[in-house]
Amino acid sequence: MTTTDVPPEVGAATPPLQRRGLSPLMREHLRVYAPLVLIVVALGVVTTAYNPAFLSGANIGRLLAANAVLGVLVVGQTLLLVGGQLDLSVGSLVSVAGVVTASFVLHGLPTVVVVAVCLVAGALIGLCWGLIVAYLKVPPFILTLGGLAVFASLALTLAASTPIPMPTGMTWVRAEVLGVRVGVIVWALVIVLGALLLHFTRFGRNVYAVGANEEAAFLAGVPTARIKMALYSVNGLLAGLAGVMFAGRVGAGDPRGGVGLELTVVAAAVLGGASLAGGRGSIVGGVLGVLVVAMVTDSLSFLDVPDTYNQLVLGVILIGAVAVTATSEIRRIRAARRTG
Amino acid sequence: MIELQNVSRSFPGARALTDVSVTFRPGRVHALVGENGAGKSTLIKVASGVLQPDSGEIRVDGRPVRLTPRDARELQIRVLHQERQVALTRSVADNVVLGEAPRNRFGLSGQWLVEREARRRLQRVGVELDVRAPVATLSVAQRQLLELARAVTFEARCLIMDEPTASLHPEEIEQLFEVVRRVREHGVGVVYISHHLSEVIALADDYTVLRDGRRVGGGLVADTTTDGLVAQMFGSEVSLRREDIHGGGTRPGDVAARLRGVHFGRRLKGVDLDLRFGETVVINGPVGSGAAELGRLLSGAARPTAGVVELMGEPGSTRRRAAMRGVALIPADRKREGLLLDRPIHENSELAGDAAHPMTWYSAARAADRCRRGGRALGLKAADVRLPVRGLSGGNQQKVLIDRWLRVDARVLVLDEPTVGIDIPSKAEIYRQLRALTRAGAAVVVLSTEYQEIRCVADRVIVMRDGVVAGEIPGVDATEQALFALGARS
Ligand SMILES: Nc1ncnc2c1ncn2[C@@H]1O[C@H](COP(=O)(O)OP(=O)(O)OP(=O)(O)O)[C@@H](O)[C@H]1O
Ligand SMILES: [Mg+2]
Repeated sequence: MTTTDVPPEVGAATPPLQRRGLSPLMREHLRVYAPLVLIVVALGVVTTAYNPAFLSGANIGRLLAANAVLGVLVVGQTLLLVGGQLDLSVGSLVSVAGVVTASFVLHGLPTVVVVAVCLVAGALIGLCWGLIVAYLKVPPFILTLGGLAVFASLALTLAASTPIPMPTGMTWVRAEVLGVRVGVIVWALVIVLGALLLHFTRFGRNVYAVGANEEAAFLAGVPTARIKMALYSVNGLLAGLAGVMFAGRVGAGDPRGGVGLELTVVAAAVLGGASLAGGRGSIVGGVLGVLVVAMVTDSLSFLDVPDTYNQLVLGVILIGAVAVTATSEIRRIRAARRTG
Repeated sequence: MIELQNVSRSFPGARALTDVSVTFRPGRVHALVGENGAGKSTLIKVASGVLQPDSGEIRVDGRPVRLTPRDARELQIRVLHQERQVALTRSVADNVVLGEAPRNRFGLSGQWLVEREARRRLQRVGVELDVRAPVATLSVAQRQLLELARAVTFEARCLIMDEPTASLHPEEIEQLFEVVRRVREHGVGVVYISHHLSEVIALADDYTVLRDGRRVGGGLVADTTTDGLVAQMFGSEVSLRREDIHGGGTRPGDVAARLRGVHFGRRLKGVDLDLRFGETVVINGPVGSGAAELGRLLSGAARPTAGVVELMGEPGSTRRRAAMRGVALIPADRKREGLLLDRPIHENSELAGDAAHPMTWYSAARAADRCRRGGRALGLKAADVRLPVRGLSGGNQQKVLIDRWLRVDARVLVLDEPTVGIDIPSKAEIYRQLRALTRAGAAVVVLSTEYQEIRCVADRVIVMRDGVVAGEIPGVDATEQALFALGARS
């Protein structure tokens, strides 16, 4: 027989293998985004009606600046969650990095050095998490919960339990370029880089693969251990950066500054469509999650609701959002099971 | 008696069944045949209440019914699904009696009762398994037999089997035939789906052919032949004979993989093996013979406990390193070890490529384009390559996996039962692809228990038994008798 590499005629017509229009994945993303956008818009409308100052440029700038730290952390956490990982130690890392920043500034170290030290140290700590998760197979939840406690206590020890003021340090975070705070610009850069990494490189596809089915990814040649280490390192680096930004914004190194932050970070990422089971989520979703959190906290204060209710409202929104996705998820899984 | 009348069913993007009518009679074996994605699984899911039809009617003993899975169970319609449905962390016994644990007169179910019942059921189908072992330790074939034990009762009105022989060894298939014949004698109606027409001819009384979701033929098996069935299924002739596919080969070249004195736990006991570029080696052997373990060692997915595995002259490769050097692996359990079920089809078919070049730009649109081209060459049936791979029919999922490695320049291919659940024209196509790769200088290892497949692709066949190489036969001489004689001798 001669070599025949002609495809066999299966069925009558060749299947098109693609329909017109938006990709199904994009549609799924939009399904996640739509309610978030709706919440942001609705809150904006209601609050502006109550107090027109809400929609002023100054207030929006302030709102974004106040949430840049959270925003940077959510980018890192989204990357982790998509890869089926989790880091709860980010809140404590922000505290430690803040304290380190303030004390270094007081010792007269140049800004560049301080920033570099925080970024590198953060990345190294992240790398450690990655190594332990990848090679010692410690579940990320347990490991980083331990890390949360360790670094919380380290921050308190370093600062002797009181905030270290640095009125003249790291002022660049508060400075404005073309009317936009530098902290917000840094956040925007982190978003762009994160989105490029996750959505426009093949590395990003490997991250989704590890989160979706680690065994299959491993057998296909994905360097699963290296991917995990990279994710934790990037996240640690961003936590270091967030710590510097935080210290710069409040003008002090507060050893309790990051307490509870990790929960808000995970909540925002999950609101944005990332799944704790891995393999799902997007950077844009994470950004929208941050905006929802920001709007809720801010509009409540504009509406003169005591800020003791902040957490309550956020909690309810989170439960609501996750319940909605979870029920649609369950429906989807049932349907999938029915159809094999 | 179960009748489906003018049943239709659609999925988003696919019309799986259109106006299909079929009757399953008691005491007869009814074969359901058709290409991948023809709608066979969908049809039996409708017949067993797992899916509701969009239109049409189901009648059981003449009465119209609206079935749910629970109704179906009460009506004694039992199903052995194409995809394994086992609780991995539970024991064999728990899984055998899943959902119908025996109770004592106080309405309680105890471990002892469960195990006794499980043993009884396993015995009924002639399967030997340790009822206390966790299912996770079982091979794919063993899981399939476990589910057979769960599904079979002589009181059943209807026993539906979706590709029950897909990963079984010939001896196990013979055993399964015995079971089917016995339940038929008890007056049970059997629905039997298979891509192996020889099985259909040997076992079935009636047949129905589906194509693109429509019934395009059917009747008495006695009135037809294999060729007749093929013509009805695919509208053309397809040959799966060595003469038409193998096409000879080049002289084998350098050594691609070398195994010396390899042990793997108690599964392999001192195996020596050379695999060369430009040849296809089939490793044949039943579950427990060590064939599957050889596949994992050859692809770097496992390390030997003793001895040396050299891949392209390099000992001790990790899976990652092996994959980077072009060693492809297609695992037998495609859902757990092969696919990212919730990710798009194109991401699944590009996974090996993405893994090899993580530091390059990615464009979803272009990836989808590439996937469509590759999919067409393999006759992939999908509404849209950007949909999750989960929605594909079983055979089409397998094609995606094969496509994954055809896309990167794999130089060594290890395929564990590569054509399980694949229809005949696609099989022929895959065999031709493998032969073309071999002629182009790749080293191909196929772990297979299917004689026809072995005949089509093999240059050499290595027969495994109890963890050692029982013997080797050239591909041309690899007849069913020769292989059987070698494997069974002890
Ligand atoms: N959950 C689902 N979502 C979307 N499409 C589906 C789903 N399940 C099945 N289909 C489509 O329905 C058609 C019939 O699928 P089905 O599984 O019945 O095929 P089959 O005849 O069993 O094929 P195979 O021999 O490969 O098992 C296919 O085109 C498939 O893509
Ligand atoms: Mg099927």
